[in-house]
Amino acid sequence: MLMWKLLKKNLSLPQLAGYVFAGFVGLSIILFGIQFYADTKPLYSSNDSFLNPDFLVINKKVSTLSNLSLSSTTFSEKDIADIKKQPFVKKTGFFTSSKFGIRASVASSTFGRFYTEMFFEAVPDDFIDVQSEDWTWKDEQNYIPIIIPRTYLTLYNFGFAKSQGLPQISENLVEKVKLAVTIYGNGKSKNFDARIAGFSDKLNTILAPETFLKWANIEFGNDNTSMPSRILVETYNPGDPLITKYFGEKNYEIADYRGNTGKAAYFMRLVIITVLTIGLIITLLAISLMLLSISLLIYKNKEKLENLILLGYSRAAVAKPYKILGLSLTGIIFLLAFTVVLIFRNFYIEKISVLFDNAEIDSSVMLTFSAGFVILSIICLINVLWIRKKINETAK
Amino acid sequence: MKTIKLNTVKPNIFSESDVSGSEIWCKNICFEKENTYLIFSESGKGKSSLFDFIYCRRNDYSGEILFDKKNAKKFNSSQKKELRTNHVSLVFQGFRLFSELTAIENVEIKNRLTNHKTKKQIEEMFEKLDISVKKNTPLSLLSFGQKQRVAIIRSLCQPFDFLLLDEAFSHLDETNYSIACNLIADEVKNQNAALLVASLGEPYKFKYNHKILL
Repeated sequence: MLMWKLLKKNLSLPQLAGYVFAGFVGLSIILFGIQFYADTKPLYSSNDSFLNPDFLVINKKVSTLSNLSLSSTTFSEKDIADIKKQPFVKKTGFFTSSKFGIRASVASSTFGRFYTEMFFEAVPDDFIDVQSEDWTWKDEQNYIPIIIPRTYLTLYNFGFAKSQGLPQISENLVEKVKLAVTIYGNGKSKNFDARIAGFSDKLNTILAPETFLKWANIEFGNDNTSMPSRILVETYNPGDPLITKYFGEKNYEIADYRGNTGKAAYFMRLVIITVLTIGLIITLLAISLMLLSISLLIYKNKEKLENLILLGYSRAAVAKPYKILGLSLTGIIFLLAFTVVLIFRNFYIEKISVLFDNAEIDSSVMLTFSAGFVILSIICLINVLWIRKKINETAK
Repeated sequence: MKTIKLNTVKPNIFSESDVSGSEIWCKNICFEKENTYLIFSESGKGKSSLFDFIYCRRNDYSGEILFDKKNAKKFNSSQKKELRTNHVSLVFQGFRLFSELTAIENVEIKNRLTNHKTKKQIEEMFEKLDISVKKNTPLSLLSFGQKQRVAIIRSLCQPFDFLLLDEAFSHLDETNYSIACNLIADEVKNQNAALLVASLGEPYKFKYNHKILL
């Protein structure tokens, strides 16, 4: 192409290479930061299958004094009012305990029938994240959904089953097991089917729906209401340092507190923002380098450009080779950066899966690709506008 | 385009006394198609400026230039492009050729825009002007006279109503400019165009309808 032959004369390869390199480094850092954040985000948020991660379970510390009944482990109304006043508290909820006898049995081909005494507790439904049709109990319904601590299963799988040569069972399998539950009290008894609807990391208790427990407490229990010993607190931000400070001063315990993960997540965000900023600065420098090279190139070709326009070439036609040059270089940068991010991702994904065995890395590269595409489009737009501006200045 | 009208045009750099005696500056004059004009003067009287004004390259003048009835000063870039590709052709005094390209590429870069001549016709013109051996030579290696002939060929590679020659034969001997004149006259006749020849006084080989002192 004659135009290209004419205009490539003053191209400076080192300048273009510099632009490609700087743009590649900057864009890689940005895309890598975004991709890494998307990939590691699940690791910093609680993966409790049903409990919202912003909830904390609070109880008073059990001390020798409490054994001697000199200090209570239940929360008084004053304690509760004080907690509700704290700025980090969004909502509170209380545990309801079963006040009747429960006997559960499960049929097993290995053991025959297998009996245990147990208990239920309940929390308000809006603290439970299990899909609503799984977590309902209506009057006299024969089926009770329950939630058990994940540690129970771990204990069985890695402690008991392994040592006894019994098969390990998965969460999905356990959820299919039917428990026969008999509740009794007040001289009455009734049989129910129970099924495990979910697992909890945070609550060391067996949960049944609140409606069921309230009904059963009236039917089978001696329902004298007492103050709760554990409180559920929904916070605005579980990483808030005020939380540890307040509960520490009050000598309360936070069960399986994820405040540290919250802090780690905050720190991680900080690091990623820093990395993104650095990437952005490098990219901006690369863009300025590109704009400078283009200005220089157009300046050096000023006479040729004027002559082309005097021959009758339109400004757009004259600008086209420069636009193609700028756009293809930017395209190359994008492809390089995206490839490098993908390669690095394969590398660290392996590392992450090793470090966190149950980490669910379900993020895709689409976010990064779209982000890269947006940045690419912005650079191309700046490029095109700048070239047009410079050509217009030259053509005057 | 049928006429180019100049209404009291005067270059800004000229004072009133500079233009006294001129039959163009500060006068009303109309160039019409199918006419041949010789515009002559000594150096520094503004021949190149006049052509720059008509070619819409500069507008540092007072008065107005009208293409038919359109004011040249109001032309936007696409109107200028249209003017330069289809209505007015100019052989620049300084040629404005591209030293990076070969002789024939310099012509092709214009012809590609207009598709006015075939490759064969272009080669024939190179032949006639006796520079066909140089057609693939980089322009930078050509002599002044050879460059001038390339510029003339290029100016013929477009449709035009007015062809402006700005001292286009200054580096050619009589044999060569005679051939060039014939080539130009034929093209101008074919296109029913007007020819404006700027010269220091030498009339070359054209038959003029008007001789105008600038």
